[in-house]
Amino acid sequence: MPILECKGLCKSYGSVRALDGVDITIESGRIVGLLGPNGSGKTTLIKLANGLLVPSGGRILVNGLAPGVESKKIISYLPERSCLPEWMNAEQLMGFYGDFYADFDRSAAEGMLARLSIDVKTRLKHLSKGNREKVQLIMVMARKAGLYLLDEPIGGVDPAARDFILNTIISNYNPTASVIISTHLIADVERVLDDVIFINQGKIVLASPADQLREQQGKSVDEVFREVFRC
Amino acid sequence: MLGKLIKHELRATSHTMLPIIGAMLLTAVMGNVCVRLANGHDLPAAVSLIVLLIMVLFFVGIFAIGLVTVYMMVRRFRDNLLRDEGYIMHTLPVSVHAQIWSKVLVSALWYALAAVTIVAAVVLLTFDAETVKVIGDLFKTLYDVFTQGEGHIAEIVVEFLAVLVLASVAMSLSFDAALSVGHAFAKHKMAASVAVYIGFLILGQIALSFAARLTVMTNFYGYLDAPYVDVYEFITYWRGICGAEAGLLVLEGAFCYGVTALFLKRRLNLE
Amino acid sequence: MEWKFNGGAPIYTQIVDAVKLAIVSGELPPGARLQGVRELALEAGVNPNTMQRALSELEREGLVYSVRTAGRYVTGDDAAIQEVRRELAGGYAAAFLTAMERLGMKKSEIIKLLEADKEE
Repeated sequence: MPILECKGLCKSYGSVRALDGVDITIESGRIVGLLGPNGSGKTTLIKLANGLLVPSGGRILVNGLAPGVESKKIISYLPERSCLPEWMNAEQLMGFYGDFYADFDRSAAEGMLARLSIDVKTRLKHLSKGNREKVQLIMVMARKAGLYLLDEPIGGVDPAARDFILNTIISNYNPTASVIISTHLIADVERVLDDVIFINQGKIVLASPADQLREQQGKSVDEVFREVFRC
Repeated sequence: MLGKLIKHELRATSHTMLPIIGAMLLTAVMGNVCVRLANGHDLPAAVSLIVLLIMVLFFVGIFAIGLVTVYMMVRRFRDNLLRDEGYIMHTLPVSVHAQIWSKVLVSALWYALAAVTIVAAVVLLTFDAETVKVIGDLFKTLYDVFTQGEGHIAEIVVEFLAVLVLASVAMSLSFDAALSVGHAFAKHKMAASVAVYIGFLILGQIALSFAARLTVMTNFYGYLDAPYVDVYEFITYWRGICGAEAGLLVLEGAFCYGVTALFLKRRLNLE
Repeated sequence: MEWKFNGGAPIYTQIVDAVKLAIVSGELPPGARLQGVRELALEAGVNPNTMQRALSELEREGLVYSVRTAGRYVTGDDAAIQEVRRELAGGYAAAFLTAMERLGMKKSEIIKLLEADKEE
């Protein structure tokens, strides 16, 4: 069973069509790049998978289930914006994630925090913006989830943080889990992608294994992306 | 999962509410000291100014703590479920119902604690050997009334407290519903929430004017004009009022609960 | 090993080439044990599936063999390694000649250039 399946998925905000008949099938064990310019519908698609939005048409299934309590158990979601309660510290956050997610691996989280020398007793409010974002990523990646949805994880972070993020994704890889990374910064992520999905104006324009695309076009995914989305 | 949500909710709210309650009680203790100082002593101008300030602070605090608690609970609901933190909360594997109940129950608890704080603050302010005796007597009288009194006094008090709890729950839900509807809009979410709340009030008034014609209330208002007072009759009417009010609160609460659940589930619009 | 990826070729073929170079240059001597897929993927900053595919390709070509559970080893077959050396050298030579042709160099000029370079 595919971990994520969309059939004729539509989402409108008033008269604006954010997603317009999207068909996608993502199998387990893949790292998938959801690539498109800003406002192309990437975030809308991820929010629909999370149940933060309700489709206007078509359907979306996570591991065969419509978004709900059961699907949320297997999704680990990194939102576009940092949204952890700032009065908490990393220690309390680990308690929080451990309470609600049976698949949260506290020792993995502690290991990652220690490697970045982030003090677990310091409130998030007093951490640097970069470290706050890393704490959030650690909470997301420390779960043994079935589907990781990472919305713009590398937008606006420095190169060291970007490497940390990509390394975390690679080292947490497991063959029963899939990772979807939405981004418009393709050059940075293309080495870690199995598959790429190009999305523009709410429609899927291309879906292919990354290496197959490179082989057929004789270009990097980044170059293909620039051609497809040339302004 | 409701238990875990409540646990987390208590932790998150106590970190703002405990200092408020603590400050109120501290002001009461300071007020008590001030009262003793001022009692029959001639104080230097500076000291009496401080005494005056503390007393003003105490009375402002007594009146404000209820409002502050309501404000804190409304803000908590908005910030935790309808703003950035909503990304975390609404992707937890818990139902919308558990989310709402955890908020409502914890709010009701803080409203009750705020009420207890007000009573405790007044007691602390006036605390001396005599008040201890007065309070002791009061409790003894209450105990006697409860155990031996006629006319179901104990039941009446419990009923009245239950109506108060219901009222606080219904009030929380009406704020939550207004916020949930208001935040479904793309812009001016707070202004929309206020407008929706005013809409609810108008709706409530219309519903109430119908209800008032139907229920014992008419009898009650008629009774107020009656030339003499019969205690037993009054108690009957009073309990009727409480029952009617409880019914209305349950209806209001159920309506607001339904609206909140619907909008959180189907019309969530996080920025 | 140094991992640099570029342009149009699939990542896995670029990994295959990098490992071949390491074997031929002796950086990975015959019989040397390779790291696990996950470690190599992390080191190269690539998807573990891609690394797996590259290693399978190297196995298919007989440059690497796997011992159940123990891991992957560089082949001890010297003939196979020499074969790869020739293959890589041929590839570099072809690329070199193409570049020279584009510059308009004649074969005799190229040879002269190479000999001058050697004497330096």
